[in-house]
Amino acid sequence: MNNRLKVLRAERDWSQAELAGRLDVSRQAVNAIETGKHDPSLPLAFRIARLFDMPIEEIFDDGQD
Amino acid sequence: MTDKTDTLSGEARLKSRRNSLWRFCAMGSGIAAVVGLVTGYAGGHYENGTLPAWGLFAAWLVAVASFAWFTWEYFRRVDELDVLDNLWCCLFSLYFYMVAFPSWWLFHDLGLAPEVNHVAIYLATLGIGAIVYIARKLGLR
Repeated sequence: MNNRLKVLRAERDWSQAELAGRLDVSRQAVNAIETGKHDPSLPLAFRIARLFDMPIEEIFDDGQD
Repeated sequence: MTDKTDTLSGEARLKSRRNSLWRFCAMGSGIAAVVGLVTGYAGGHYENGTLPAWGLFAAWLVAVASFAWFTWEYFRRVDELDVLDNLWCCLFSLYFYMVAFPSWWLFHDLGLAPEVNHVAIYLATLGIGAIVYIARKLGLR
């Protein structure tokens, strides 16, 4: 699944560690999501959406559209 | 009451969370070492006849309960990626065991291999799990 996490993080000038701390996950988890090696669970996807104040579908793209 | 971590930056929160997890793992390792010493000590006394069987069972029960408690707490403290890493590591270990033991047993039954060495299979099972866990930690997902 594609996502815009890296772009959104860069727009806020946050490091992976900063984002990880805000999401209460490890830095490795942020890196794995950004590189597409891990699709976050629904609860984590909601936390990400809330943090960036955006709908989930504007952050994650399953390529079905 | 406001959580004091609410006022921290993300990086500070991550550092606090990571340090807390390392402290917990260090404490768990310390407890495991003590429990290992106590059960070993109890085993020695049981063999000498100075400890009744119930005493040995009690020590064993404490060891198992400690392990269960540590595992439960560990999975409450790690994130979903680490849970997945552990699940994959356990899946590979289980599949290895499911294939290794009956294969060895079959070959032994046919006279093609020595008797099954359970300790060797146990250690290999742990080894496979460790390799998979480390590989995933190194980013091989």
